[in-house]
Amino acid sequence: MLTAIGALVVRRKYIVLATWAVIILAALPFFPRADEFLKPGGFSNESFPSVKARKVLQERLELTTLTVDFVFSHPEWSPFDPRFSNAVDEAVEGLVDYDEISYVVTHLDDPQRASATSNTAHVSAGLTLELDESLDFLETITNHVDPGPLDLIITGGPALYRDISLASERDLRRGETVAFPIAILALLLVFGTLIAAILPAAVGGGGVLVGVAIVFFMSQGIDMSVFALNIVSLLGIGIGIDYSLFYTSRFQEELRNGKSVDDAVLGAHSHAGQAILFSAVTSLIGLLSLITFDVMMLRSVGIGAVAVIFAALLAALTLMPAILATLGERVNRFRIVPSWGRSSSENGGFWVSLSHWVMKRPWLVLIPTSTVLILLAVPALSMRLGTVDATILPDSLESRQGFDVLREEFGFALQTVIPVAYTFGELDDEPELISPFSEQNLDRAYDIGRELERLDGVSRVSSIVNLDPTFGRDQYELLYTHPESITDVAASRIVEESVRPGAILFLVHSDFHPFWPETRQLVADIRALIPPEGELHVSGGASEITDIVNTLYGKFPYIVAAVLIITYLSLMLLFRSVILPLKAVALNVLSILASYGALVFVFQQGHFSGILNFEAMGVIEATLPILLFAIIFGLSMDYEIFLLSRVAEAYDRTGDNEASVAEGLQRSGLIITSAASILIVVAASFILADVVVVKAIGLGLAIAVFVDVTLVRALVAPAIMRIAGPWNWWLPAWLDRILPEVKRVD
Amino acid sequence: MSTKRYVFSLVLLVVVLAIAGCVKTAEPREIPANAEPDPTATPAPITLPQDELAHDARLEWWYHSGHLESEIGREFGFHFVVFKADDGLGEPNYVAQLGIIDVETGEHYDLSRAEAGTRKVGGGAMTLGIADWVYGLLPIDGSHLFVANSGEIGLSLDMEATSPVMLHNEIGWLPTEAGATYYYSWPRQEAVGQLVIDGETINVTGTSWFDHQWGDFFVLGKPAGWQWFAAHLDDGASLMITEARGIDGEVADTYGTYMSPEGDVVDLKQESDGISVQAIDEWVNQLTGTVYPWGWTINIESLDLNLTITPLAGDQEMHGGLPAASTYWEGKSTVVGHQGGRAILGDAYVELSGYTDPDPVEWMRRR
Repeated sequence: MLTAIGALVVRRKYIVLATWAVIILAALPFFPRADEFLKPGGFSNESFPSVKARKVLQERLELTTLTVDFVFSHPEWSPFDPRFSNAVDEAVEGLVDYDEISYVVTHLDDPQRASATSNTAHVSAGLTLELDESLDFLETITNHVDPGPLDLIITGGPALYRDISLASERDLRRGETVAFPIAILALLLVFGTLIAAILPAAVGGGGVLVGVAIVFFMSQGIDMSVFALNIVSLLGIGIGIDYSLFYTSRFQEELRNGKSVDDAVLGAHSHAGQAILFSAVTSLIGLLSLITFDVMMLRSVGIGAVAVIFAALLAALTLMPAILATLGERVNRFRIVPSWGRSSSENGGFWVSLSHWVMKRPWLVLIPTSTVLILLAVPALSMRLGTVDATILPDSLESRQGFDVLREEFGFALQTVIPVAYTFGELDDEPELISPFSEQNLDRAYDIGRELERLDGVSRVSSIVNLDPTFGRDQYELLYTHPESITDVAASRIVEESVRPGAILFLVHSDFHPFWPETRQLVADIRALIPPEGELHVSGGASEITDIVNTLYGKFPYIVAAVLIITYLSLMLLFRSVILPLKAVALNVLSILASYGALVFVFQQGHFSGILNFEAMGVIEATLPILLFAIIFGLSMDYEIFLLSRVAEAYDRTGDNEASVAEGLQRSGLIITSAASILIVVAASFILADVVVVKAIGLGLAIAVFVDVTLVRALVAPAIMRIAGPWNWWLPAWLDRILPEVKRVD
Repeated sequence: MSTKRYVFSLVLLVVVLAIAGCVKTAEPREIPANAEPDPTATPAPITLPQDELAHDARLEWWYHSGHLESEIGREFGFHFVVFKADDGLGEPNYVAQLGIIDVETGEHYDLSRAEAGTRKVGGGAMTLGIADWVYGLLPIDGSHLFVANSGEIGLSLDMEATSPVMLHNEIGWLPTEAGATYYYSWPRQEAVGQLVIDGETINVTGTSWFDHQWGDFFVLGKPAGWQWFAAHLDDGASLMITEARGIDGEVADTYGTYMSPEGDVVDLKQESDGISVQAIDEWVNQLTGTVYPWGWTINIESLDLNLTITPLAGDQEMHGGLPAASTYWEGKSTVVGHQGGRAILGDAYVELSGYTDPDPVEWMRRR
């Protein structure tokens, strides 16, 4: 099949080239517009109980969680200095007249909004808009608010939303600007000639262009995350160049073996093409798994990555042979780097010596290298999953600066507050039935409030029936006999803010950090409570994290198992062995675990945060391990397949296990190292990203690939293959009979 | 090989189980009915000067109400109070109010400040910075100071107790249906300081009454409320009388504390001591329509004491910095009467709480 496609492409090379020219020209205008319909965030889902609860809070309790926050400060005046207060009043005057604003709260309404340690106060304007609609309005109110003599920083949901888009866009451009030139330099070192070096970059670039255009069109029909573009771009460049690199190098090898141009193309198509096809399939298996998650960020990365890999595969199997058939020997023109580096490696050299050295002492190599891999993975045991907040943004952006002030001065995002709405009755019920102050409803609320106070990890509950733990239900009935005339400051504020007909809000405060697993247990404990009448709705950041983690990680083990099994079966089909696929899958898992360990060590624990210029998140963003699993599994498998294909080719020819391992390493050594180096460079260029999530993906990927091509491929794999001996190629006869034949080209 | 396969399988199993461990669940359960509140702690004896300082309590306030005179005999009344409200969710909120009545002109000034959190505590003393005002409690029994200036109007006073402490309800602890409160007074403090009226600074001296209350309780608004009287009698005695109304607007309790000129403290109960409080007239705030009692007769049978208390001016309302429903009247008044056939004169401060119609909260108004 592959050979037939290759032959067809060679015969119709000009038609193929023209078709690709049309495709690329058609895709070109959409490349710069790729992010037009992409959305920031996408780490949550409308179907999450916490998100539904948020809507209940909005509809039944008129609580809006989307706010624009104005942080006012002055070098000398304290927040309650009349000059400061007057300036704030003047700045926000008229804001509440906008239909889009439901309330404005200043530090004069709520003294807690004035910092106890600095001359800073913050004002919140609650929006009636959805996040998507808030950007234009943000500009309107930014122009409205004139701070006068005060300093002003604007933050809150819409500002963060805007800045995440800006930073992601900037990261993408920066990543591409750095990655492409370095990749071409690496290709020059590999091929030595200008044409051969530019070719993979051009074909890989073409694939990215088409993949990104597909993302552009798909994002108009389905919600896709802005992060998808960064990852699609990263994968597209890395994988596209890898495929083209393998193809080109095999073509050169075929030419050196004295074949004609057309035969060399067909040879490359048969050998490299098959490996590329299988590696694309394994990559797609991993990445397709992302589409099964009900989280927009993961799903859109999955869709985008599948699109870009598909485009890269198509480019490698059609565009590349057409170009090579046209260029022929000219592919080796314009030598820039001397050829000594390549030939020594291809003729044996380092890789053969290394494989022989390893295979002479397999246990001595396997035990320490496995230990190193396990040690690299150890930090992953303390992985703490969380979700993103404004700290993923660089502190040069205004919204992040404002967030930092709110966090440092007012404890934002450091304290866990779980809003729990108790709803009872329908709004058209008799007023007495849905009055939050009726004896019956106060009684029920009292029981709920007291039960919430008793849960592990709860430091305080705030509600109309939790003013003080010594107050009994009789006292609350007394207090709310005339709810409109409450003089108690705390009680009157709580009546204003946290009750409506048919709904009572409980704010559950915990000393647990919002990201701690204990907090997720607390959310689960609250959700387990069944009120005597009505329903409890658990909302807030901690609940959303719980939903994200539960949704993702309830499914993840099955998806891991499915991906491992499908990959195992695919490899068993390709290599007709029970053991080799097992080794490949197990080593892949080790590479992934090592990268998880590195993620925790760096991004959770904060090591190298100075060098890498980020603030430790204290958690690993919950989608990251899944995303990295999906990406790394496919990528690592690429190299494994390229290596094993070469080993299998030699074994089929010689029947000598050790010699074939040595030959496989020798023949694939330089090319895998080069491909991996390019991918590491591309991935590492994303370490320069401003958005920490993108930085983490870049680093995780770079480390996984590095570990994979150094420790795993060069040391662990040969050692295991030597220990396994003939068992590497063992396939029970019954299995051999039932497995469909996939002819390995020799 | 089987060993290796076993090891690989084990590794995979560990990974899967570790991931599955991220998912948190709990068994559904019904919320039990008839929950009970925490028991109220047994009251601790009041210890001074420690108990002058702020407490870990829902509500706390320090009240100073007094009668001042300039060097040329011009009379003023003042009321300075610091409220502390702590909902347990962060720094407590402080609101300070200053009321000044110029007896000569009848002009009443009402100022306020608010602040979250205390600025400075330590060394046995407490200094609260409430915006640009300062309130200090010194580590000496009954010694306080405040500086409350606001441009053209202001008052700075140093106060020092000249009488023993007055613990109300015998031990300084009042359990009510709205929670319990500690309550004591320094009924007489000598006050020295400077008053600023319309930009003019006037040296003043006088006598002040100090009240300190704290506890886990709440305050009910109209029709509940109270009338509170703090009188300095010219024989050197001091008297506090409170008439408390319940949620139905009816008088629920009347109680008080009397300190003889010798400093002996007598606890007064409505029934056993025959306390009666009668309003004589009304004063209507023309702006808000709020109707307050105006002038009172107070009889205490056990003390053979009959007093008539008359406000020096009608408009002595305090409303700055608090919810509308908390607006109260705090007025300088004069005292005439007799005790056991002996004529008595004096000064008093009267507080009237729970007379103002509240502004309904926004969502209730909409309905």
